[in-house]
Amino acid sequence: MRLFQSSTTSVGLLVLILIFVLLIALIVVFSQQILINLAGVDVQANIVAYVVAIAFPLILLGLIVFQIVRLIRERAAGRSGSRLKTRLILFFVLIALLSSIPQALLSVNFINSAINFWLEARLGDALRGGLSISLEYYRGAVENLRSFNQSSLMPFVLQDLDRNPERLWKNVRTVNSEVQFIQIFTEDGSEVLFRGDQEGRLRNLARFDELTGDLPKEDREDVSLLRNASVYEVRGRQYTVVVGRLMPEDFDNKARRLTESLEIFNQLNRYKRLFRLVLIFFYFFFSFPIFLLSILVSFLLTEEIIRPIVNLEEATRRVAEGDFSFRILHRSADELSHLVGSFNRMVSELSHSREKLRQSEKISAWQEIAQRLAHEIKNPLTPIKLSAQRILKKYTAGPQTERGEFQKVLEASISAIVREVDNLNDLLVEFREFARLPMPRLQSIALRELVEDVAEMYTNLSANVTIDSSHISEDSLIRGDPNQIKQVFANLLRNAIQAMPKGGEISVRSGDVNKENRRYCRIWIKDSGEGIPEEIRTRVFEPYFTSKREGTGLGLAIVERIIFDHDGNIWFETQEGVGTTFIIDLPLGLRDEF
Amino acid sequence: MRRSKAKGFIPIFAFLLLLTPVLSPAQEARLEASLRGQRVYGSIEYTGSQSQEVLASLWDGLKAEITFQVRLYRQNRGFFSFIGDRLLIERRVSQIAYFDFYENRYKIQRDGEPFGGYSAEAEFLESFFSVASVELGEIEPSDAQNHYLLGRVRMMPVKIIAPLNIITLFSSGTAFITPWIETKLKARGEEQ
Repeated sequence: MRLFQSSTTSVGLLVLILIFVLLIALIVVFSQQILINLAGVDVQANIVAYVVAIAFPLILLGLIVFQIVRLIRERAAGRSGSRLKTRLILFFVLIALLSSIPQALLSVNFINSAINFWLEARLGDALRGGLSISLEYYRGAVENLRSFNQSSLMPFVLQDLDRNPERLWKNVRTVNSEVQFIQIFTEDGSEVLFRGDQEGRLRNLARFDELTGDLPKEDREDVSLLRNASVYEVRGRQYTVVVGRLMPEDFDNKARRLTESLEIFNQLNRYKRLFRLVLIFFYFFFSFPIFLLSILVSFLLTEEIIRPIVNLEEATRRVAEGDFSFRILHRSADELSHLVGSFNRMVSELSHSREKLRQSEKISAWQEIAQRLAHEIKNPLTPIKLSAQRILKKYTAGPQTERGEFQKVLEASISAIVREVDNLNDLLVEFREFARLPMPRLQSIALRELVEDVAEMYTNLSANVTIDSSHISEDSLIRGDPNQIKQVFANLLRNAIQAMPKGGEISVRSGDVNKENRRYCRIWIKDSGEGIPEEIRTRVFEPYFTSKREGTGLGLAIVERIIFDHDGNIWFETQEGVGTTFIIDLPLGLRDEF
Repeated sequence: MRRSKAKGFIPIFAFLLLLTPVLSPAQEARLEASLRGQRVYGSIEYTGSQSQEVLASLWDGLKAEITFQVRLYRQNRGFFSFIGDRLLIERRVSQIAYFDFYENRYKIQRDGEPFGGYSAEAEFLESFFSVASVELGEIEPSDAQNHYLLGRVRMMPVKIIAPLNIITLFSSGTAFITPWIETKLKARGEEQ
């Protein structure tokens, strides 16, 4: 029993969907990286990104073109399921487009809205306002230190430098509570006083001479420091006084974030139109492969969907051709599986019924043969019996009978007995041949050569009949058992000659034909005899049916049997008074095998 | 003279054609080479006319970026000249400029590190548009005539952060790239 796998079912589909999701995830995950790489300055360094960005959609496009070409070829070859497959793919593509187009429009709209929202004028004003406040605060702090350090109070405060440094620090804090540390150096850069937060202490002064006015802001990990330096003379000696303060914790980071935000905002604002176009371009750039991927998946999915239907169609065709051993395997438990199950049961029941029918036909055929055989054997028995009785009667008559008369009767009777026994023998030989036709040993045969061999035998038998096989191509090959095919032509040519008692022409020609996706050699054997009467046309291939006095009625039955055994077909066309043409289809032979 | 300049690939060209980028207008640069002992140095300066554009963008709170690219080649003479000249070394120096509103100064970062602060515009522009004495390795002074330098500059008046910088592929106004400029390395006797 041949089994046909109907579908890989849910596992195949699951794998397909998994690959689809995986590829989309890859696109989504790496799209940003690809974008960044594409934006890189160096083309060669980003060659991989370029290749991926170009090659991936091209590969997908190539695969789709390949699938389309394959589909076109399948349609051209008339392969079953190709039309349904085309319709399903078009349907899938349409569905993909129907979902993609509104999605694309929505996305473009969303991109526009988002850009407009991000770049709203109020946001820019707020950022600029924030920076302005921050700057104001910063400059206020710088100004405060500068004005304090350069104020007329400082010389008085510094009077306590030698006498009471603690009072000096206390007075500084009383006058300006924002000053958080003070550091005083002598002319040669030696520190004479430091009071306040140790964070603000200047160490390792490389360029002491530059220590004047507003000092550059010093940024540390989590704190930034502002300082101002002024030179004072106290009791004849010059001192450099540095006052300073710590900016609020994280001020520097916050200020940096603010300027960065303003920078991004200004960038976006400056290239707003271009950026919008680029975003839309890249939206389509990354959506397009996904769309292509959907189409590719639809091809594979369609294959999965139509496979059971195609298998069912193939199985139906095979059953119609008489192959009842065909079964379809279907593992899933869907409606299609029920259909396949019903089909398999139907074929099984059909096979059983056909087997029963064949058995009963065989029995009735044998019954008919037995009746015919009995009839045929019984016919010669009467003359045999009569001949024997005549011999016995003449013999028992004895002396009264003249010797010459007895001899005459004896000779005639023995001849009759021998003839009838020969007839019986012929009948039994043909019957055995018909009943025990061996399985054909198939090989490729040159048709013209075989027909000419057989024709040569029969041309000699009848001088008035000519056999023309010149219309058979010399390249014409058939697949069959040479002995059995010879017997076919011998029987047909003999019948044709017998149908033309006054002579005539038998023409044999051949040609190639296509039947149900298979190539055959068609052979026409045409005679110019009387034709077959209408009333016996349906019985021509029946065993033991003959219209001839000396025929056994097995010739055409043997021909039909041999042709069927060769997977071929035979029929005839006839017209009374014009002639008969027997037409045979036999499988084509293989050139390599010949 | 054959040179091993950056060679494109067909897919890249196809991609660039697909994107239909507008080529940047040609800008000028000045390249000088010097040999001190065995060491080769290159100085390169951008002479384009975008200084006001750069200043305007800095005042808007934006950053400007300039990348100097200098290569040292050795000429292949004789039979093997068809394979092109040999690239010995390539150096890139990238400078980012911004205006520090708190300190009221222009600042430059070179290769990610703070490089300098400038109150005067002229001083800042001179420092930003040029890079001096980029070390390019050592050669035999007697073989100097067989060496030459190639240099080019890529200047962005507005440094666009990734991935926004993708727009540089679509617009010529965002970046200016000079053609490759060649300067021969003079032998010791030829130096003035």
